[in-house]
Amino acid sequence: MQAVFSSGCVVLIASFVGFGVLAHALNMPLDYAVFLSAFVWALPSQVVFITSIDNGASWAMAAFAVSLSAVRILPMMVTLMPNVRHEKVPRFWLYIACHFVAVTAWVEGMARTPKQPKATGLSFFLGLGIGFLVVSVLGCIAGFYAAPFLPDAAGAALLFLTPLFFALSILRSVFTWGEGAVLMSSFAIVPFFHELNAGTDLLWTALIVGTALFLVQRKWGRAHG
Amino acid sequence: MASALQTLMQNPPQMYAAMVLACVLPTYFWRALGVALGKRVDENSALFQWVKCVALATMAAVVVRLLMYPAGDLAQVTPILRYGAFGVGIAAMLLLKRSVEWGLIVGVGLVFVVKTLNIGL
Repeated sequence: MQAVFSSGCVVLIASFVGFGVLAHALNMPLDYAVFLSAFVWALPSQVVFITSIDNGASWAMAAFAVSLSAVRILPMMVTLMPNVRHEKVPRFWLYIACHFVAVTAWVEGMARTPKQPKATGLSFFLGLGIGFLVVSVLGCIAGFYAAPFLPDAAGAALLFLTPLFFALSILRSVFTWGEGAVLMSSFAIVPFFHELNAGTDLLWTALIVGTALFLVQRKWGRAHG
Repeated sequence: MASALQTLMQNPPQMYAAMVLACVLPTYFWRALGVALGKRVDENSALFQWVKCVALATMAAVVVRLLMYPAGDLAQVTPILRYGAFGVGIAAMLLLKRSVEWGLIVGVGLVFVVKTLNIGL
């Protein structure tokens, strides 16, 4: 229970409050916002989806952009699995449990599951995941209902929280100035493609900047790990 | 003119279909693939590294989208304050032990305080 109320979790709740405010700003009914928060439960996917559709992207383009952002979950899965896998645990449960893998749950889950005996690792992780998900959905609902009553400054601050949170999370996995510079070029590339076709700016930026980042890491890279 | 999102939201069955097909499944896919592949993924392979980079760049592009084309109350915040607070938040994180929490408190706090004081930034 303590793990659910860690400082990482405060950031998680705050970011979902921000999502509730964003949903309200885009005139999205609460049930859609709750559905996304509970069944996607990956804030970047949710934000990519609604802003892509809002910018006129087709469903296929939105789906593609969402999967590009969500692929970052795969390496987390690969690292987390040995900690929760056990011969006595049916695979079915792993396919349920994997829904709860997201940035915060991963950081907390990785930090704590090794301390649990193997057989309880999965139930501990599930408990943690469900706890995180519930508080996230509650945060989203709170943000949505609070939005119309918030002073403009608070609404603006909560909407500002999402991009800053994502940027700081990216920064945690970037170690050189070169990599930072490549990522900063998104500020020029996104508006360029946005002018051409607002719905596809994410895809082009992801592929161009992502490939450039990959090349920079290869050439001047730190040892990856 | 109503945006595509507003039009889609008028039609709940379509909106739910779009949410499942274009958001729930593309996200769950990678989680399930992680279970299916397990240890068989070589995290250090070039393909895997490239995929991670593309994921990071997608996040970066979302950041730019949210900052440059802001929604709601954030649209009332001047670009100077938006980009300024963004830079200050990043600097705060780098200076304060790479703590995401401190970066957020400083950056978000700056937007809130400057907007509340209404000092014309």
